[in-house]
Amino acid sequence: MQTTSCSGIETDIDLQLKEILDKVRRQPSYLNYWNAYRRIQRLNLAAAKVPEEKRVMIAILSSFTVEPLVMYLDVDCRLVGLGPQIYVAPFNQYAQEILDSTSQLYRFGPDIIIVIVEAERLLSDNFFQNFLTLSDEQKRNLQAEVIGYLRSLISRLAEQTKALILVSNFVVPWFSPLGVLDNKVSLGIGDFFDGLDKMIADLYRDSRQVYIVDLENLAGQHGKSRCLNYEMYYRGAVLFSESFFPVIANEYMAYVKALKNIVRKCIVLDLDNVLWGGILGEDGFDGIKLGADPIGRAYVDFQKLLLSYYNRGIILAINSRNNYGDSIRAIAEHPNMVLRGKHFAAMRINWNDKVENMIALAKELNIGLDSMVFVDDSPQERERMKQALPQVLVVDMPKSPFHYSETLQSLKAFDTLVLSEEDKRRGEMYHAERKRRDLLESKGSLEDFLRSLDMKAEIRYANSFTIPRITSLINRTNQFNLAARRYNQAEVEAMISQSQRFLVYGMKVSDRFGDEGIVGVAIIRKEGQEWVIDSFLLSCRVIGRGAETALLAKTADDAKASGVSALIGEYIPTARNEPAKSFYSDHGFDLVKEDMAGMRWRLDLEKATVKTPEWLSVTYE
Amino acid sequence: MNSAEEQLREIVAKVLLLKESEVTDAISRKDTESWDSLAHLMLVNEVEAAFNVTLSDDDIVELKTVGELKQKLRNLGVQIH
Repeated sequence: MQTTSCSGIETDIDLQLKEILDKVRRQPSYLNYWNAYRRIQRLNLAAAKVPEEKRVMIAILSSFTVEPLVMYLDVDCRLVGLGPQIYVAPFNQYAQEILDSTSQLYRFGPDIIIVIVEAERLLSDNFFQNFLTLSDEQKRNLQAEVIGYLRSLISRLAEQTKALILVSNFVVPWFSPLGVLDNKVSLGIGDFFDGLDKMIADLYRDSRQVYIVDLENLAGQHGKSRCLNYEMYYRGAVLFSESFFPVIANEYMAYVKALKNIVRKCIVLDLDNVLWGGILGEDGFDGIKLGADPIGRAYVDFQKLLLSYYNRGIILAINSRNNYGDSIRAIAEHPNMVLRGKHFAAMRINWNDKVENMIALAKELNIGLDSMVFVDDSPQERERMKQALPQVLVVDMPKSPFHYSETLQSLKAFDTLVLSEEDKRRGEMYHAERKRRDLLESKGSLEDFLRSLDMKAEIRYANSFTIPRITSLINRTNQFNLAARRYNQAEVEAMISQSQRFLVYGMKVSDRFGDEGIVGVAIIRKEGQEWVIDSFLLSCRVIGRGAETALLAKTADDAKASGVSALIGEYIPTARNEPAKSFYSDHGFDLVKEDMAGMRWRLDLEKATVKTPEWLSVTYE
Repeated sequence: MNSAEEQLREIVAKVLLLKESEVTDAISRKDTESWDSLAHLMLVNEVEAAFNVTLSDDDIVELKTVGELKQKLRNLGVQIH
């Protein structure tokens, strides 16, 4: 339990932190969060080692006491491996902080700004008691006033920072003095607040910097009568109850994880007692429970939920101890299966160890274990997976299948800040990839295989249609990413608007099995006689087929055409981008510098060039 | 096993960042750095929830030691030594 400080201060802090977090992870009660947070605050955190990409600066602007939210966010960030710093604007001074460009808020330099203001604060003190005396016109004017005020604050924030801005909407009061007649008048209390929420959502629907946190929905899910603890409210101006704070924090964490690229991409499923009830090997094709009875209906609903995730771009895979032939038949032919073979990007149905299967699946799909979620009904299998592969998110599935869907819905592990058409079609693309692998096995050599694919690449400068996808790739690509610099949409837009300084390329790839959409991105930073490849990345789905060479060749051609003498490439190592390490040397670049920060490569354009592979037909803008 | 006494000791220890063995009736606001106003509110809130009682506002303001907290809980009918 006790740690001594003889083994060096840094590791000592890390150990203490781990011990504190383990406790709260085991038993996430309000009291344990409190204890963890306060103990963490007493540690010398400056000595804890937090890599740059794991740091997150969160500012909270609020009209009420938010200490419990700070406590949850701080601990929750640490539980997912982040090192947070949280700034809370002085009590009820959010407006001054936003308007004053020299305020503490801006000096803090937030990555994320949380704005959470009660509607009551923006309306006059006697709004509720006088609501029924107002005319419709007066009510509409009040709505316009509230939205106008909020909008002016948010615009100011957006001008002053590049931070992600999270604005919560308003909780529609469950009480109206009109009672059952509230929706019989032309603008009741319910309509008034619904209207505000609709207006604020519409205002920022297309923004890539401002996101509306649906507090109204969260409150509804939690139960509005449970969202407030009157004792805490009147004694300490704490607006939310101790049971509601973790719900809100969990929602904010979805944004934090999305921003920090802690995103799960793949759900790996067991079969027996996960996709259907019973054991296929014992109960047989006709004996498994799927559809007809109460238990069977729960499994069908769970499959429907998984299919909705598939349609959103989450990859599905199978990891099951079962007879392969019987399982494939059940998946293909059982009348009540919702998911079919085409929905699974990869399968491991065998009698091997599930941990080994998991590693093999990650390798086959070319994604990290830290992108994977494991769903299994057996507590022993889950425990083994947790121990062996702590990067994998192992879902604590409930005993009863009635609660499977609810458990997965509450996970909040898949959120991203942008969702492109490519993202949504990911499942389909992985299925095409399975077919490609079959073709590769049937061809003798890799080159024969590549020639038989009929690959086409289309390289264009980024535009407003392709920015969301390009931003998504910049933030989600881990393995083949040379510099691993992350930019949000506003930053990418800023680069595109300065074409004298930057060039942003997007590359589409297709072949006879389908269209992969935009899978490659390169960003050039013009520095006089040299062009620096600021970013160069490729979705793992297409690595090794020559598309990366085609994209590099295009940048080299453009550089040459502009009369530039050299192309500079940088490799900045991260925990994940080892596969990209030799990219520049493979393409004839010379190493000019190597240090702790990475490697710097140079291609002399007067002497060398990059050639596109002949099996690729490339079109340019 | 989980007597009211043990429950209270756990709450006090966790709220005030003490070891359970360090929790005595003599622990006071004055001498305990971690017992600030937020911790005070937290302590009251957790105790009220655990024993299903409501302390009066006067009690909350007066409360200065763990011993006094116990006495107030006894007054509200909680079986605690």
